[in-house]
Amino acid sequence: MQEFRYIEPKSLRRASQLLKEHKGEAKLIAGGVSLVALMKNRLVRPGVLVNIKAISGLDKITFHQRNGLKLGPLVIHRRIATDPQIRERFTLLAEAASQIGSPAIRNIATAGGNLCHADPNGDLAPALLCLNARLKLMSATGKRAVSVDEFCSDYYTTCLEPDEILAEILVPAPLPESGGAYLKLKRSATDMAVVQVAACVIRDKKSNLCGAARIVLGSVGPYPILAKQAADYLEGKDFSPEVVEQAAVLAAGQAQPNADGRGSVDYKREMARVYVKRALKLAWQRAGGSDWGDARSVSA
Amino acid sequence: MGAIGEMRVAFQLNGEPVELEIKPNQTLLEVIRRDLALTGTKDGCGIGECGVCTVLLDGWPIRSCLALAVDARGRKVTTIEGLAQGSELHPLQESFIKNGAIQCGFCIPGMLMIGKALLDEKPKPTEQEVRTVIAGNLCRCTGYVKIVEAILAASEGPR
Repeated sequence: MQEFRYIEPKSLRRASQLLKEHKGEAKLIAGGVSLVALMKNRLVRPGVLVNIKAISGLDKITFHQRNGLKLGPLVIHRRIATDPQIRERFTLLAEAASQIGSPAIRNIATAGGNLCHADPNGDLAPALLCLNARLKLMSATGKRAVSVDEFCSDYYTTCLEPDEILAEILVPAPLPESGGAYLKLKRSATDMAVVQVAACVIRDKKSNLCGAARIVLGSVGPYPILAKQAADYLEGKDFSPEVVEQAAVLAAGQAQPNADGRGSVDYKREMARVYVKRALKLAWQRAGGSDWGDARSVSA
Repeated sequence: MGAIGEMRVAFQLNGEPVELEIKPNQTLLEVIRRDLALTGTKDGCGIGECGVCTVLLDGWPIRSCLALAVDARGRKVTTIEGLAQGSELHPLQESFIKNGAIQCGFCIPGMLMIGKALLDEKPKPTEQEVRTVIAGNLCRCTGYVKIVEAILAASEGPR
């Protein structure tokens, strides 16, 4: 790794000032899993490295019935995957975190690093977009909150200004009678995804119809894709196999995959359709809806 | 302000306190292998894919090739050299030998560290749990069967 100036600020405010002072040559480091690999390959060559791990309070997980879940940017994936509250109430988020890299990666890689790296194959962004999370960004001069949609603006690109830092991830508390699922198709256990699907549905208890749905596709475009058409189609519908099939076709139609070693354009689009179907079925079951057998089965 | 040259760091290595001068651009793996001359931990892909550099940080397995050495400050680092007690091998090491889990040996330090971390957390893992945990540690010789058997044999589970 080439040399850099190494600084450990004690506050986010100071970290932001440093990013501003060294604009264009400073990089923020959290867990370092993605950044160190990029630096070793000389794809990123920061003159100044700002390590935020000395700032206290950035690795907290808190849950309130009313305000929902708050994740600090330095929370590691293992904690998201194993936290009892997250597993119970934000199941799809725990499922996403549990499938990032390998165990030894999940012990140092952080939620903030995962989001800010903005890899189109990233797992947390589709999950958090599906859960309608807000990202709190702060700089020395102000703060704002953005949706995950706004945050992920292109391949490996976020909406962060040069001196802005992702300070907190806010996930609204899920409604009762809602359910979510995160499914990932990959070639091997630790590979990046061919396609990921995050889905959540709200079941109207009285009518047993779909109250609302949110479907997000990952790895089939420059950023996670919110399949709005499919979600609109599901609203107010009976959650029958035919309806789910139609929703899956609509969602897959919004995929913008590229051909690469993980599959052709047609294959990825087809897998997006199949995985949307499976994710919707699983989410519906978790929302208390009827069970049609194993949602993960190959015949789905 | 900010360091480019040497920085003084202290941490615990295999139960013993160590203090040394490092550069901020050194990975934990480089410090372990070059500065501390503990070459049991291997340097493989260098980008976190292969798992041969696995060490424990405060008991949890991490990729030492992707961790900055400065981040080990004040923490407990365990390498393969920390498993045996003097001339007495760790039960997991014995089990690897007994079960013929070692061929070329290059992946074994990483396999032992990830296996130890698993058994520390879950003394009775299922075969599936063992396979899930070693998924990020590549072995190009054995096909994993004997490695899985060795970890299960060293566990407290029924065999």
